[in-house]
Amino acid sequence: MVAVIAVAVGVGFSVLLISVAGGVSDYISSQLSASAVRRSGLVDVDVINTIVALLTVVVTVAMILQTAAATFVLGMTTMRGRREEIALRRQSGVLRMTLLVEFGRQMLAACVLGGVVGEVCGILAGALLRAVTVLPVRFTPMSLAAAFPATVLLALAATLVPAWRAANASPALLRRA
Amino acid sequence: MTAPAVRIRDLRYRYRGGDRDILRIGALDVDGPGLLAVTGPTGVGKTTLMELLAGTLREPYQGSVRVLGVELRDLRRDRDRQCHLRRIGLIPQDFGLLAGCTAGEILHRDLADAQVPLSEHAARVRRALDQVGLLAFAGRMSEQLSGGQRQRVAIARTLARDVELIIADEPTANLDPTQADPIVALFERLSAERPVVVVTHDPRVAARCARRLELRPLVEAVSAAAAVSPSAAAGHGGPRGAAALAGALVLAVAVAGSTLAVRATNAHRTSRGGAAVALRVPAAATRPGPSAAGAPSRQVAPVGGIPPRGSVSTPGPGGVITRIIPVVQVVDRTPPGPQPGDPSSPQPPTGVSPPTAPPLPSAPAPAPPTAPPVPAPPAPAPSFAIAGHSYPVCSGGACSSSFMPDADWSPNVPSYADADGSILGNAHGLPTGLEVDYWNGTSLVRLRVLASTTVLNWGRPAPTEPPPGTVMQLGGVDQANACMDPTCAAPYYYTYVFLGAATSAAG
Repeated sequence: MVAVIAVAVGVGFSVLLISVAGGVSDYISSQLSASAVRRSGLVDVDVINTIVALLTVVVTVAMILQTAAATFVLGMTTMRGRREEIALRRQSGVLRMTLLVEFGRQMLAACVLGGVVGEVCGILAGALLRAVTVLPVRFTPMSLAAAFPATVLLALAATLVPAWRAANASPALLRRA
Repeated sequence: MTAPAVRIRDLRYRYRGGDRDILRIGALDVDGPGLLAVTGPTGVGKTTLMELLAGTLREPYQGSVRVLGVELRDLRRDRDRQCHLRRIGLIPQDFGLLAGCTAGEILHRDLADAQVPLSEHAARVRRALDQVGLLAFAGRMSEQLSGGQRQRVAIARTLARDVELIIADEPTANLDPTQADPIVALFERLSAERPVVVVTHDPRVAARCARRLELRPLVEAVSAAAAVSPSAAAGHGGPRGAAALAGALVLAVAVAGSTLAVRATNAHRTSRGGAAVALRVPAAATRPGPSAAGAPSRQVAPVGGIPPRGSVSTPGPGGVITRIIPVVQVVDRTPPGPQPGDPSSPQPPTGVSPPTAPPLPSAPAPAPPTAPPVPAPPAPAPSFAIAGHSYPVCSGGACSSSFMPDADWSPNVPSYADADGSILGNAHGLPTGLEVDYWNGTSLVRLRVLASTTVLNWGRPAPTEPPPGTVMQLGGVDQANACMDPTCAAPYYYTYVFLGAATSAAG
């Protein structure tokens, strides 16, 4: 449940902020592209456009990384808390691959569920912002889908790597740790 | 013929990164059904042994450990190892139950992990819970069960899997007597069909076990009287020596009662540089002749020549010891020098014990065997001498001012001193081969150090208090029982020195 909420929050914020960043970027570009502005020669429109585009990319990447990192930390923490379980079950004879598949499946389910919830929440929040504020929110395929795969991939890594390591350790030592 | 449940040969085990062995067992066989108690003081390695047998420790070991006919180190593939683990039921001290699950769910999960066909799960769970009397509690969360009930669930886990060997670590440690008795009775019942190994500190539990494996930090003195008697110590082959040894055997039998004590020598998690002891009963002495010299000697030996009773036995011709090296167990301050457990120091060959201790290359002042130095005449007060130094015997630990500071003994090794500056035991034992003049209460006898070790003990001294009758005056042993701090939380040390094979009377 914690994983679902964490992924949902991360993905939701990613969707929202990337959409806002994209909307702001488009808005500024469109304003700067006005012929009157270009003719005035007061600003270098191309430079500003480039800066705005770069800022949008930075925001997008930052949000993806933030979401992925949060999920990664959560996955690691979760697995650390399950080392006792891993040790006990390994003691009972469970195969390493069985454990990995099981944990991977659990985390994948949490990621998918959390991702869907996050997407919905992000879209709703973006629409609300657009309706009640002057912020130009723009939903694009990029803003909707960017955070999701990265989150899932890193969540899986954060689950499987510690699970693999725990499964390889001596159950006795694992339980004492 | 089926393979024995447990077969250990020349085991040496240490944790990864550790600088010394945790376990050393010469030989141990357990086969057939029955209840076997593993006892011994805290820190002696009981739990480590159990975990090793259960296959839950992965560190490499030396020697051979075969459990249910399988050499553990041969289990390289995960599937092989896990399939082997499914045949063994390990019940940890904290019961090892998954939190947030009902008793039934725990058993179901266990069966799934062991890849038991799903169609058998319900019947197996029902049968196992019924066997432990918890069928009515199958739907209760493990946290809501009492200690005794949780222990029963832990036992039911092994029953559901139908394991071939059950290993329980302190099964009654967390239970009050009213809960403990039925648990032991349950183990007794289960042991009718399979070997059940129980690690326990509880003498009542051990007393109810048909067999007992006693792990000790050293080979217990068989007879202090025999050990300190020059005639007994020196005259292995003579009639007096034989008589003393026979007495030692009788005494050992009396001490052991009807149990079969198997002795294992362990190194401990001592401070760096501590030595491990490996006292071996020389097969050569038992079986004179050329072939006997190469026969395996035993660190694990039945007390007093009691033949193996069924499942626990020691290997070797006859499985009976006819000669025991007289030893005493003392605490002593320790000079620097090579240690028995140190790879750089000379070691007796595996399986063969030298009739006398090997020479000590760097002992402070080893006496030549042919012309030992004349010891100092005994002082009016009891005293002993080591390496040319003479010290008073500190019975009761009243050596507040006469003990030398650490630096006099071991300037380059860490050591541990109590408030008055006396050494409680430093990181080394006495060098093998060193001759000491030992005050046995009536006279000085010259003995040679066969082996020595320093044992770390955490917590209060009671669990590792030397057994009654152990000669411990040398070096003010009682001070070793002191805690290093008011709460007894810091470690303290015993230095055990095995003396024997006196070369001469010391006057």
